[in-house]
Amino acid sequence: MAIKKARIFSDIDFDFLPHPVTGDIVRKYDETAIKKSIINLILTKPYERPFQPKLGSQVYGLLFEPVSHSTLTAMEETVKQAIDNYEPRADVISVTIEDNIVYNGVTILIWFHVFNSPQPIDLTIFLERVR
Amino acid sequence: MASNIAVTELDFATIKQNIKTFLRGQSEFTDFDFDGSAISVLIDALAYAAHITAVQANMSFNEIFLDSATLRNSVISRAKELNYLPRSETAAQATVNMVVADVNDPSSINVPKGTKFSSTIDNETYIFSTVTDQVLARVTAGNYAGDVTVYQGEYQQSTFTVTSIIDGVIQNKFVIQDTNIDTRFLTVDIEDTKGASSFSWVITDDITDVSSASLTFYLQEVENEHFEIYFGAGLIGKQPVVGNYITTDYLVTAGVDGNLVNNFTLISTISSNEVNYTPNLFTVTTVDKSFGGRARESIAEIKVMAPKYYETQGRAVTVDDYKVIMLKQFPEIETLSVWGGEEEIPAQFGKVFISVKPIYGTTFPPTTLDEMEIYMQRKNIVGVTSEIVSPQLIYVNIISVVKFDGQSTTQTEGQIRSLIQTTMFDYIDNQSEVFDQGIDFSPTISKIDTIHDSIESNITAFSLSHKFIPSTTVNNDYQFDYANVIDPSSVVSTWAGVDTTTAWELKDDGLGILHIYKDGILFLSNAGGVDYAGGIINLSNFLPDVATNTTFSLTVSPISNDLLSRRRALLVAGDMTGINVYDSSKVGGSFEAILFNDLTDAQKAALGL
Repeated sequence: MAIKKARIFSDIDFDFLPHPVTGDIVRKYDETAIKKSIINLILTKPYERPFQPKLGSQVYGLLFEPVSHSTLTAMEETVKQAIDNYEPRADVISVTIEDNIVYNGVTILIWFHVFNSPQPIDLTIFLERVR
Repeated sequence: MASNIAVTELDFATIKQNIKTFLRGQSEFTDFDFDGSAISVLIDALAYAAHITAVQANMSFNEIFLDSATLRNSVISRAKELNYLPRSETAAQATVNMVVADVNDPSSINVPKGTKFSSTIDNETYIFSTVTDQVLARVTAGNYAGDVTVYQGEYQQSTFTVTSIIDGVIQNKFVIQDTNIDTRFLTVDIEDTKGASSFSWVITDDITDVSSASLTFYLQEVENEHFEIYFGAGLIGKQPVVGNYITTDYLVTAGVDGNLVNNFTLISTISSNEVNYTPNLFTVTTVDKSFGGRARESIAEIKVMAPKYYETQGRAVTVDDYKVIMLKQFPEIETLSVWGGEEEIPAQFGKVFISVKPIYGTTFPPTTLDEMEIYMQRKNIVGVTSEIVSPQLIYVNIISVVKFDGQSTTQTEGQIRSLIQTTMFDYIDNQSEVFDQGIDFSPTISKIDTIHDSIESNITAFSLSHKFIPSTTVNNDYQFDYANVIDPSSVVSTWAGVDTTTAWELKDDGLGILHIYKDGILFLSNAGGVDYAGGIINLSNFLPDVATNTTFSLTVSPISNDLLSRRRALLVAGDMTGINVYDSSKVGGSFEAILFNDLTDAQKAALGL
């Protein structure tokens, strides 16, 4: 008999899609929920959320800076700080950012593990300018 | 799932916390505590919307009530329901004397309304205007003189035309675009059509005497501190019709900035009896420098005055009625006292006395007092008359011996003494000059101790003086109210005779009788009486041997340390030369020297030494 793994974390999916069977809104659980939370944090600009001016990261602004080693380092730092400050479930192991000239964007590779879980988890985000 | 959620909070953080508390009762979504989660974003949006709605509702309801409204538009709207028109800017008034000669020798010379004068103070030029036609009387053949009352400001004009009336309601708004107008001098004239003969319409705030045909207009403050005139719709006043041409004249004033101006120069050419008099023909001297200028009524003032004014119901019955009506009608009044004639000595039943003090100075000109009395005659109830009287000033003198440590300061005795005298004059000045306001003893002596670090202690007492100029030709009776219980044997007044060598002294005997001494010898054994308990001194048939226009000072010591004020009595800062100092660091000290050389017997008695 299969043992159903207990779910600790659950969140709404920002796509707001209905479940194909129940019709309820689709939820995200545990590792997936945390990954979506980290993506939200990275894509949130300071002063975007009401009354929480520091929440988010500076990545948006840095995307408009010249791509240089210092810019990439700054992006790595702001991503790490955002996760450290606002996502207490994730313990960051490393943040690596590479510029992707071919696709005119940057790739963010984050390694972290969830607290109380030794399993490292990777999260890759590709960011490109849309205008 | 939890069924209750707190909904009474206003601030974002608390609302958000309440939503989170609510969500703890369910298990479907557990990530609401993590700021990056999608549900946290939704909570933020919900809390923000709730916060905005709550604040808006709170502010809206605050503005509904006079007590809690904060916007001027809301406050005047609430006051309007109480038939209260807030005070506009108030022009300062001054009196000038004009003298002119004319060989044509007319019976008088008319100074028309709108005649302008100018004066400069602090590099600012202020224009003053007459608000009524005034007359210079013929003094001698060909010579004319008279006092003219002028108000700070210049006349401006706004015109309107009635263009649309729908269902009996005028669709035009007659809003005067100048904001700094003094509404006391607003006039409205209406012509049937532009250029036709005009009729003057009068303002009213009392509809009891108004009919549907009365040429009456009303005034109200509207948005952005403007004033709007409106009419009685043919019900409580005649209704203008389409095509009527409305002309408003009003004084635009600088309000409070126009106070304390003097040295006026006539700048208008005056036309009278078909003769043009150029400004250089007139000699203009200041009789009373300008006073009474005030800013428009503040929100806080409106909140206090509007309900009080409503309470009066347009007539004066209680003391508060008199106060509110007077303050509303005469904004140049700073403070006033009202009391019934039964409190007078002797009692005058059926009378109400009102004593008024202007914003600057202590007394109004007699013409202004007459205006006030005439106005209040319309507000009195049957059988009661009111009398406006000037305040009776009681000068508060300080007698004090102050000990200071000369080793702890580089200041000299003279400098310390001067500092204390100046500071205490200002202190008494700030504490008093309001009717029914006394001066407490304990804060006064504490104040002296804190004037300078070197001051160690003080022995202090008050004395009270009335000042007056007695007639030197006619025996007169005088009555002085000290508003405080008088210490027996403390009444004293001294003066020099016409020959400047005779020393006169007026004293009481401690039994209520006043005696006059000439060079230390009893001259007159009953010059009047003292009601010690009532605080009243009466001088009878007083005709002193003194130079004309000599100011007398009649001084008493109060029994109580704390000073009281009542009725027309107004405490003001008086003589501070009774403040002496001695340096405690000097061997032997000079304290004894001060006591026995510098202080008079009366001062020693006042200090209990």
